[in-house]
Amino acid sequence: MAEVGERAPNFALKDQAGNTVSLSDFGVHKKVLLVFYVLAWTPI
Amino acid sequence: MLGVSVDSRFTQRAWAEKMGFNFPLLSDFPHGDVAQAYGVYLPKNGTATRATFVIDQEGIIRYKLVTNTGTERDHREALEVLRAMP
Repeated sequence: MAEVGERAPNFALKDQAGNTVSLSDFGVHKKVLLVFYVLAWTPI
Repeated sequence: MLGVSVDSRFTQRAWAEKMGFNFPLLSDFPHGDVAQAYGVYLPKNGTATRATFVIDQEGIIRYKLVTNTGTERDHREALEVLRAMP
């Protein structure tokens, strides 16, 4: 379980355009709001 | 902002277009590996639950909110944490 104060697990996933987005690339020197949701077409 | 679910990227694309989302929707397909790494995977569902993380510039988790699948999230706290960060 990822907890507050710990390093966020890195990942690399494809976005809707087919680009690979990794936390380490996207989030360098940026704040990140990471939102998990159950399924598309449902309220976030 | 990054959105993550177990949907395929084709589903993500259709949803993003329909809703006008301008942030990446990431496809954690098919087994929710990233949701599992963050401890927010629901094996019975085969999906993530609703969970929000604020990650700072150094890659450290500063805020976490996990709610069950049927409960709407209140993002005000997360946004306050984001705003309070340098």
